Amino acid sequence: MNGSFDIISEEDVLHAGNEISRLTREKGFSILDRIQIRTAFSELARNMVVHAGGGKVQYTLLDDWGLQLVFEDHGPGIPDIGKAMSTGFSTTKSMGLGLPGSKKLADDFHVVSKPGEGTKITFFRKIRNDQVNNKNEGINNGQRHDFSRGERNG
Amino acid sequence: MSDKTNEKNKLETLEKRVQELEKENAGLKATLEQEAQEHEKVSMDLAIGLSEAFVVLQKISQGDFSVRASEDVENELLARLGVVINRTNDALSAAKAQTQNMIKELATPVIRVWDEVLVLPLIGTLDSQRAQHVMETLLERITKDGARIVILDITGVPYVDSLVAANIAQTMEAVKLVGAEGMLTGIRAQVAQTLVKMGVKITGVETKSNLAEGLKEAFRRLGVKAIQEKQPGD
Amino acid sequence: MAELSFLTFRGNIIVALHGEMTDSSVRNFQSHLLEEIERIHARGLIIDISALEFVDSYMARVFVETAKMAQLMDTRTVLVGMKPEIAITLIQMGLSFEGVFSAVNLDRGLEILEKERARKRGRR
Repeated sequence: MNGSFDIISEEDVLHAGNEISRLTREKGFSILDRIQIRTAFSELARNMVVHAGGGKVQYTLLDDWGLQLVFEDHGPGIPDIGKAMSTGFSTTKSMGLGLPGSKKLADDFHVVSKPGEGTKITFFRKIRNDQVNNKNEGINNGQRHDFSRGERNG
Repeated sequence: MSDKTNEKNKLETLEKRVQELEKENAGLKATLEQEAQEHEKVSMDLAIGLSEAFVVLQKISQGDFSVRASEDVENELLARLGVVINRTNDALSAAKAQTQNMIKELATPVIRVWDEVLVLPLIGTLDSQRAQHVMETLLERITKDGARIVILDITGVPYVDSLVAANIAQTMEAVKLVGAEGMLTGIRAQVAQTLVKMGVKITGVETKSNLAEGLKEAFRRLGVKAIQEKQPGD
Repeated sequence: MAELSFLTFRGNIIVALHGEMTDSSVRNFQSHLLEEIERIHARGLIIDISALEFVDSYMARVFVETAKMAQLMDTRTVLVGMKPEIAITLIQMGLSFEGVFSAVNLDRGLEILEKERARKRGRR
């Protein structure tokens, strides 16, 4: 399952964040997973609004795998990614924890940025094992296979 | 003369019959060849299907439950084998998950030792996954029970690595954030060394030598007095 | 965002946050709260965040800042009802909440404010 959101304003951040929350709830992510995904979404989407005047978020949700969020903007770019990823650095008034903080909430995190062209951040969060197993149990409870057809020839 | 004609006719009939038989024979031969080919194909399919099934079974026996046998194959026998293997796989992986959950629950026994006082004695080595589970379980109990004081007793933890040490520090901070007071008891020599050497700061958390001292401190903070009315043996 | 309503209880301001907040509504919340503290000379402030679905670094920063600003006006702040999952998230992101009191529920929050007041009286 996949889709995308255009993020221009603070309201867009909220609206898209709510959608992401709804999707992860439906897919059976744990509360902690959901809250951490929502928090990282808020951080990274806000960065696009504040630093680049907006951008686009693409999401990909795969069963038994996880959620990937790609944040892409055509803003000024991040001149020094290493510096931006270190705790405490910020070009605006925020605490500067948005980027490094989101990374800590991710299972996989990539930043590609070219000054003057824009920034692309990929955030990936696995669906945790016990959730996947719970889902398998659900399948087992249902009658999935028909064994009777093989017995007709006796 | 009629005899001759008769003979000729007979010969012609026989020749015709031979031709027919030859044709029939050719047909039978073709059928046989086709059947032989089909048999070969079926046994090839079976051989390939079975070896695939063996690979899947071998992986399952090694504890890899992510594999699936193919159920959507032409050969009915193989299809059924696939279905049975996948069913077994599902059942095994569910059982494993259940056991792991049970172990996880047993490994984090949060005990309410007094009104509003929780104790979590940790035993054995901690990896970061278990440390994460400890944090989640403990915080949930604090909010559910409205606990005031939480004692994390790590007497049974012989050593920690830097990741787990950081995790313990994070747990104590999170305890504060949800609104309880954390206490750490039973820090072993090696654990203390790791904490200091790795520069892990456990700020604003009282540490006591053992669980009994921790409990006394908890009682003191709650204003609870324990009075010994009789001497043992009186 | 829904209108904010401040309750006053024994000289303390109690405010509960609901649902989602944009950055500007978080900023508005801060300035209105501080004005209210000034207006009624509040002795304590309780921010109930039990109904918040998540708290990100921006909101967290505003809470910590607000507590510091209130402290300058001689008002103690208690954050009440933070969900365990939110606490884990904020700590894992590396946020610090130094100088902010936390309580599991409103009762405990008021208790902390009482204790702080008693401590202050004792110092005098």
